[in-house]
Amino acid sequence: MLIKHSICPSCSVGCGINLICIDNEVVGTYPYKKHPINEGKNCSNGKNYYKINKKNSFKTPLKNSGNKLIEFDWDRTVGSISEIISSYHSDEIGIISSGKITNEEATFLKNFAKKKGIRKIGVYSHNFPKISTEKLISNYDELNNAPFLFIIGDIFVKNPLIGRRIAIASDNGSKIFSADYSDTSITSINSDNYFKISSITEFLNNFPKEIENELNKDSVIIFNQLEDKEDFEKIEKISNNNDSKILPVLSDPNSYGTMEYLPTLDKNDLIDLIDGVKVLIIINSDIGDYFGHAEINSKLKKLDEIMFLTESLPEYMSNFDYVLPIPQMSEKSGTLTNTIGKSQSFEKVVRKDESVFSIEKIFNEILKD
Amino acid sequence: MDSEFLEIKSKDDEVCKLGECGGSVTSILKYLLESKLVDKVLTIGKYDDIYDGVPVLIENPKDVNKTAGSLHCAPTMIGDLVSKFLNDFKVGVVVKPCDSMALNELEKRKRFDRDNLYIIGLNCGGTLMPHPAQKMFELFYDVNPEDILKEEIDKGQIIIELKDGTEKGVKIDDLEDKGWGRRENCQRCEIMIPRNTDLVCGNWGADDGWTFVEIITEKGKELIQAGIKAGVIESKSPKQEQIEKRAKLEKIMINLMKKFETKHLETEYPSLEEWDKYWNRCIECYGCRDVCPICWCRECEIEKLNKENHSKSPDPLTFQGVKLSHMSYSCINCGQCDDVCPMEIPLSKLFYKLQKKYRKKTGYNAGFGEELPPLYSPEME
Ligand SMILES: Cc1cc2nc3c(=O)[nH]c(=O)nc-3n(C[C@H](O)[C@H](O)[C@H](O)COP(=O)(O)OP(=O)(O)OC[C@H]3O[C@@H](n4cnc5c(N)ncnc54)[C@H](O)[C@@H]3O)c2cc1C
Ligand code: SF4
Ligand code: SF4
Ligand code: SF4
Ligand code: SF4
Repeated sequence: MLIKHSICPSCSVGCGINLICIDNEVVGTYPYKKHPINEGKNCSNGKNYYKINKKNSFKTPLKNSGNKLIEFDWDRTVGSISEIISSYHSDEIGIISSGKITNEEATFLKNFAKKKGIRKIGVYSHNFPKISTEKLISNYDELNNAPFLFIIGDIFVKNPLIGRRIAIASDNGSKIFSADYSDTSITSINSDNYFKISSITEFLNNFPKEIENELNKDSVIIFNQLEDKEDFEKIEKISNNNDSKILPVLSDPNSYGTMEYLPTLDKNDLIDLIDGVKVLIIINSDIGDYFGHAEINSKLKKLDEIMFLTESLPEYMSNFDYVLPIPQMSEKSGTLTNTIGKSQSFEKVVRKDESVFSIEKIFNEILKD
Repeated sequence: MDSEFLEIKSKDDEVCKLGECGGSVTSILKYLLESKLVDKVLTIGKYDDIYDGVPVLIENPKDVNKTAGSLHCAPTMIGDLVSKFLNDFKVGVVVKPCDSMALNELEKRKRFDRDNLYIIGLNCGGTLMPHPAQKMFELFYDVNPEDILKEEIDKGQIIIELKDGTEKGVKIDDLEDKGWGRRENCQRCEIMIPRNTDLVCGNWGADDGWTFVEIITEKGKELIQAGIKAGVIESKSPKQEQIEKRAKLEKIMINLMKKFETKHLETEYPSLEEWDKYWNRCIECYGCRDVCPICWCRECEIEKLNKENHSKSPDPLTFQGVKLSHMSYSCINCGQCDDVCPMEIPLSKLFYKLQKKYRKKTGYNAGFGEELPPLYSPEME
């Protein structure tokens, strides 16, 4: 039994988590109390991540044959993918990544695309643009004593360790306002004032005076949901009017970092990219989750070839031509940049199965041709 | 057996230097491994620094030295590790009183075989949460927390030793009056000397460079005798005044504890409105259940309630109510639930208050003895 430090790969907050390993396997978690972000506290997503990933992990590539995915050996899989890539023009090839890759892997992908002349590459950002703003908080501690917090989205449930800071702020006398689509949520219950909205864009276009009046240089606008990239600019503008800070809460553990290396794609960009290519490589994201499996499936059907590189077997994979396992976060080292721009390095906790190729190795093999 | 007092010291100069007092614990653990009395020992070691104590499982006697010394900013719990992952082995474990009480409750539930364990207790005056501790050192000691090599709690002070060899101390009372210092659970912790172990080690009453040891069980006595015989430790009898000094210090701490107990569980106990506010933010993450060394039902009833409804917090009457009815009589006030709750809900106040009530009614003292609580039924598991 060995207890090892790691970073939670389940959302973008960047919590520390200790993993309990026995015989090269993660068997549990242990509170990482020294970690400055979460001080030993993790939500159930964080604690269960290793369990779910272990359950859905696989080691051998799968190839679609007669609408069924069958096991296919590594060399032939990578060989076939190389052939496919070299038989298409670089403008016919697209790469979509999630923010569930390390900064090192993102750098590698960027260079790979450059070498191959692939321009249709990007990271799906759930409608957030690349974060480059002076308004970002630099430390979660800033939330603890903010006199006013305005929240868009259910932060308590989706990003509980930011929810914790809101709870601390509330205990310290902070006023909390929030807005979301639902009738009620844990965030709304914990707000002094709740705005049920039908569209974030519209809400921002007609931003209520009663919220604007509360905002000042010590307050923070927290949001984990946007309808399009322009929404971000609108929030930035609101915060410029009163000098308040903002905290955009991205979706993946390294969304922030990946966006530094790869272009960001919002929903429309993503559709354009898929419509404009014949071969698609998807990395570690179930893109059906982004806007419904039915919608995405009809688009994917039109493509010639789809390669899917993933840590764990997806639920929907009927459209994929190849599904390749990649090492899980616990099986590699690297850095992740959390949603406030703080990079944290983490070490490999368990050895990966030797047969499994790393992302670098898969693309290096493709480059050989 | 009647308890017996000894002062013990390692015969290994290196261990004496590394050890908190006489390095006895380290030498005894090494001896347990070398003599093959155990397969493994479980200690607490520094991962990155003094604020980062984590349980370390050791098989090679050579590795034991690395975990010598006391880490006061390490509110660890090893009960569940022993019962979940180590129950197939013979293990030597080092425990604070909360660890040993957890082990006692787990043993009563037959989660491991007591014969497989050597339980070495440490006196405990309390632990600090690592993050607030660092802030406290910045604020009240005016030092960079990274420059601190060692911390100790002695003579009512939290004393730090800096890289440049200087020492600084601040009175615990002054720190705690301002809301800093030890964890709340530690402030109201009733047990400073865990006499539910095989032997207990501490600095109270000890001469400089020695560990004061109270031998509790026959097994503990044999271990010490064997260690002396093997030449890994040496012993001397403490003078009566040392024994009295130790007893006096224990008494002072118990009085201080009572002050905090009244404060936390009576005068400043959360009001119903405050509890409502807390329950409203519960995200049903099961952190409090997963970490609780007493929560040990095989099939958790709370999980059966799981409704996957994220629009509101769980009904506290059912959610925490089930947990209360299952384990509160055995709550040992270890504070792990508070430590891990993402929503800063002071759960242990509720659970521990109930155990105290239950104790008053039935005499059942969680963490001690061999009997299970009177109302306990195995069907609950
Ligand atoms: C948090 C804490 C508070 C203490 N408070 C008191 C007190 O008020 N009065 C008193 O008389 N004695 C107290 N002690 C005990 C004392 O500090 C020495 O640990 C004891 O005297 C043994 O000394 P040694 O040189 O023989 O031990 P060493 O040979 O130095 O071995 C110490 C052992 O303690 C283990 N350890 C270190 N940190 C922890 C931890 N956080 N939890 C569990 N195990 C740990 C190490 O792994 C090591 O095996 C405390 C110890 C701790 C850890
Ligand atoms: S809040 Fe996010 S990073 Fe923290 S434990 Fe939960 S999922 Fe992991
Ligand atoms: S709860 Fe008691 S035994 Fe445990 S660390 Fe705190 S003071 Fe020590
Ligand atoms: S309820 Fe909390 S304080 Fe009580 S035993 Fe469980 S974790 Fe420890
Ligand atoms: S740890 Fe806190 S938030 Fe999680 S279930 Fe327990 S009380 Fe609720």
